[in-house]
Amino acid sequence: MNRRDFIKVSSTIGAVTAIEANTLQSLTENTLYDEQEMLTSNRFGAFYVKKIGGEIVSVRPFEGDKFPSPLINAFADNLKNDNRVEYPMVRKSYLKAQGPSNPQLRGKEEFVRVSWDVALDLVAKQMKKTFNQYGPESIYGDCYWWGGSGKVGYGQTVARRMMKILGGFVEESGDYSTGAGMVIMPHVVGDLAVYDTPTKWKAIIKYAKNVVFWGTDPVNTNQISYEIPLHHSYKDMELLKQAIQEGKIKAYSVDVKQNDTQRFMNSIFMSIIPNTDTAMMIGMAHYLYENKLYDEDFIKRYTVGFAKFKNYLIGKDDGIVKNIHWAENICGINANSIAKFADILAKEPSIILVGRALQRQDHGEQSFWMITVLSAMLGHIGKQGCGLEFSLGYDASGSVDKKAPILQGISSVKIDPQYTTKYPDAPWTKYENIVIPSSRWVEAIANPGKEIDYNGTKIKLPHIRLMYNASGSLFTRHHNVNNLLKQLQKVETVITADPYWTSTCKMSDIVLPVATELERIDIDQSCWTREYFFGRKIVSDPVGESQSDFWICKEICKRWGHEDVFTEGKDELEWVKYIYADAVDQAKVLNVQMPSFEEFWEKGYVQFNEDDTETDYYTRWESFRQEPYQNRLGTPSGKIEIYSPIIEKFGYDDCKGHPMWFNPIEWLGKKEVVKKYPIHIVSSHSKYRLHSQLNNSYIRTFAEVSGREPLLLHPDNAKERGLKTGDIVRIFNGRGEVLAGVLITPTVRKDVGIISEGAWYDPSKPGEVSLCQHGNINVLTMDKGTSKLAQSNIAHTTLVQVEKYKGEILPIQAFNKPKIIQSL
Amino acid sequence: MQKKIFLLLTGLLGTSLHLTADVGFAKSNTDLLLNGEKVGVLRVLSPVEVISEEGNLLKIKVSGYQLANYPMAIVRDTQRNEEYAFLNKDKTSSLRSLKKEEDEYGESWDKVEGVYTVASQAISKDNKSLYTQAKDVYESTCGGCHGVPQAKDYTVNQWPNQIKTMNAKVTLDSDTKWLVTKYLQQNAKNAKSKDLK
Repeated sequence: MNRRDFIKVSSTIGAVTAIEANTLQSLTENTLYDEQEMLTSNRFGAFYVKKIGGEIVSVRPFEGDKFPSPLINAFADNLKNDNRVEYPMVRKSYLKAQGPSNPQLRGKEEFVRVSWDVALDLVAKQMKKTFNQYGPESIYGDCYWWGGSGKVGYGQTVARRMMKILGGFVEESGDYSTGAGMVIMPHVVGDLAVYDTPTKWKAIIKYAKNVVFWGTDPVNTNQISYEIPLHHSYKDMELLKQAIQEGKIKAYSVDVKQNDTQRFMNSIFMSIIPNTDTAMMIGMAHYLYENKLYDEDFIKRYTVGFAKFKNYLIGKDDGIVKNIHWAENICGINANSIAKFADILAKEPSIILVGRALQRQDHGEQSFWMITVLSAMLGHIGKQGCGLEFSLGYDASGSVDKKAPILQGISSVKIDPQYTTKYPDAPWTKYENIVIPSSRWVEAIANPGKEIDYNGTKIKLPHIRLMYNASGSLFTRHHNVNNLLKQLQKVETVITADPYWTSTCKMSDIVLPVATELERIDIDQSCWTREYFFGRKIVSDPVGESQSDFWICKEICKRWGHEDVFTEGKDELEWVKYIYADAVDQAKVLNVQMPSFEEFWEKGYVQFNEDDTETDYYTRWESFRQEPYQNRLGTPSGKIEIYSPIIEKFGYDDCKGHPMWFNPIEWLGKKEVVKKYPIHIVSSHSKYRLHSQLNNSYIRTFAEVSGREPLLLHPDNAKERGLKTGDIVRIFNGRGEVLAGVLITPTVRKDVGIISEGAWYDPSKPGEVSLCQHGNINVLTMDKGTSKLAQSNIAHTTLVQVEKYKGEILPIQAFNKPKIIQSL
Repeated sequence: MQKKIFLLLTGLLGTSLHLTADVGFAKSNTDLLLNGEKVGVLRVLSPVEVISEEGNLLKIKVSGYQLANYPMAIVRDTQRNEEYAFLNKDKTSSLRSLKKEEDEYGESWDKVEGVYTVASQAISKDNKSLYTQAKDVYESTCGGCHGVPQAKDYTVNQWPNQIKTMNAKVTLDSDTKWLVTKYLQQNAKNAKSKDLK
């Protein structure tokens, strides 16, 4: 029996401890003459791995990838680097006590290598015990989005499925990316808007004369996707650039820095003070109103509540006229430029592409609401290729659609009814999940039982006692890390399943090694276009004893006596076949040919060639514009709600009946804070990772300065501080301090610093409030909800001071393993 | 007085027309007939009053609200846009107006009812099995990509567009999409509240 077959059999029969440590085939079996190329895929693309002697030495993009991302090169490096979790681990005190013990030692104490049986028994026992004693509110199981992927073994899905079988858990509504948008937009346009099928690039290029990128950078963010990105939108963006170069379209970028999209499109750059976009939009709205440039007919036919908003614009109640000069004083953009901008957008067919950044700030609901109101006044909403769009920031969103079936995945919530009949008293029949607003879980840990406002209701925060994390990175995702450190000590048990020794793993009690997409079986689809299905075979043996999330969750359920409920009698390959068979049934209805499963699996992919021409020029709200009564929006009025009586009745002081300007809790206009912390930090996406993923590969060196995350700083601010590019600086405020490497550039607005989110957390004293050596921005951000409406995060509302670092420069430890011992 | 009790009483009183009167639910999107001619569609899960049985057909009454600017759709009420039936453009006069109302946005509505025939097998006495079926499709179809919002997370009006816009990411045929949408609408945030104000 060869090693591959052994692993397969071990997995099939559920052997837990029999799997030997990874044997490095290159040393014991293969020679350099053994060369092989295999197809694989993940959230960065589809690509071939070249193996020599059994080890992956390089990658080559899949031929169907329209614009391969350089990020795929990371996998020849980080798949087997020192950062992998190789074996199940339990923190020493926790193992000794066989349960919760000394949480204050997390981050400081050694981990003990244990067998899968020991780790899984402990996990299953503690989860069951906690649930039985305290119910769903005690188990935090949100398991954040981006770790792993696939229709069978995606960590988030299978972990939630496992916790559903347990009886339920605490989950978050919405997400960190666009939590405020997801709550405000259903009030304004009647649906989420932020994840809707977007307007096609093709329609934009054909019909729009002005394209505004407002706080968005698709050239950067479209590299990745929640399924497999094949980057079609990069071809669309090239066509847009061509139209700009030919003078057919003008592009604008409203942002705090000249981002990649601005540079690629050569957009007219409007440099705005962070967090003041709403004020600029209000100034534009006032200009349109005063100069009768707004589309009165659109307002009348397709919106409600303009009269109340108009009174706000002209200052009827507060005496403040929100004109372009008022806006200039807040947003820092010259009044004449604001006027000219509004004028052009009103007179020519235009579209505004909106980025998530606008709502990841204090009162983030207002900017999304206001940009909708502004667009309604401009009157282009629903005209082909024009209006407003929130969803063009992912991979191939807005590109061509193919006539193809859609792969269904294993469900995170559905329990097959046969098991409810078989286990009539099962916990999943008795409880429902506890849902809290996105990013409020640390507040829950700090104040269990506290009531908070949320979207017209009161939410009682749950008492979280145990966390199960399937990937996800708490210390780079969540804000005010030092508070998180403190609050996490109140959680009795932290379990993390992850391929890598992240800061979350290091702060856990039990760590379960997870196999990546390259090391397990799955199936997935190319995102948005539906052009390809990809089969995922094992292209590299799992590192150490790592196992798929599917296997781990199955084993936990087995210990609860519910393995059959989790698997429904199918192993991973059988699930792949089952999902493929469902797609074959769909294809028959669509009259689309598909190969047999065996042919598909052998080849590694199936392509769907035929374009769905019906959606070529799809434009958001076009049908609403054409037939507003037939296609009523989901708002109470059926129209765009410039004024929402529902929100007004909530009576919130921080989100009222129509969009308005609120001073953010921190911003450059808050003089008393600026004296101490004069730089506004904005934490945009890095183009060299996916949030924190791939920071543990050589890719990070593409954009590090002096071994730290770069801080982009304006030359004037650097000069004031005597800084030069390459200096290591201390960035700090009342919440914490981090080190970063300075990169001086005029592409950033003065008094603004850019430090991308996701740099791995590297405390100089692990487990304690201390200096982050590596530049994790969330040590400095604030953990506060946007408003009582959405309670989402305000990552971009952060003031800091920057100074040259004079202390001892320690080596970066973020990517090292913690201390590990072989036995107690 | 609750409608069902009213109907029951009417039945007990022996009015021959209402002997079989009861509430039923459309099992699928079903043709609405008038004098044997198709005049529209009754949407799946829509409640109807069953008036009488005529061979393989049932005589039913559909009640709801009709928007003056879009009279083809009969919806639950002026604030809850749950479509009960959709009439052909030239057949909207088959509805009887009971009273006129204006909503807070100035739109004119008619409270209406219409009597039609449908195939007997198209009407179910209860909606439980349809709810189970809808929930199953919703959870298995939508739970593969993300956590599944509960029906009560959105309003009656918000659900149709939520499903419509997500439909590009899943494949549901038209009838199944209606089933899921109506299930979610009938269990939505404001589905049961009596006073929407």
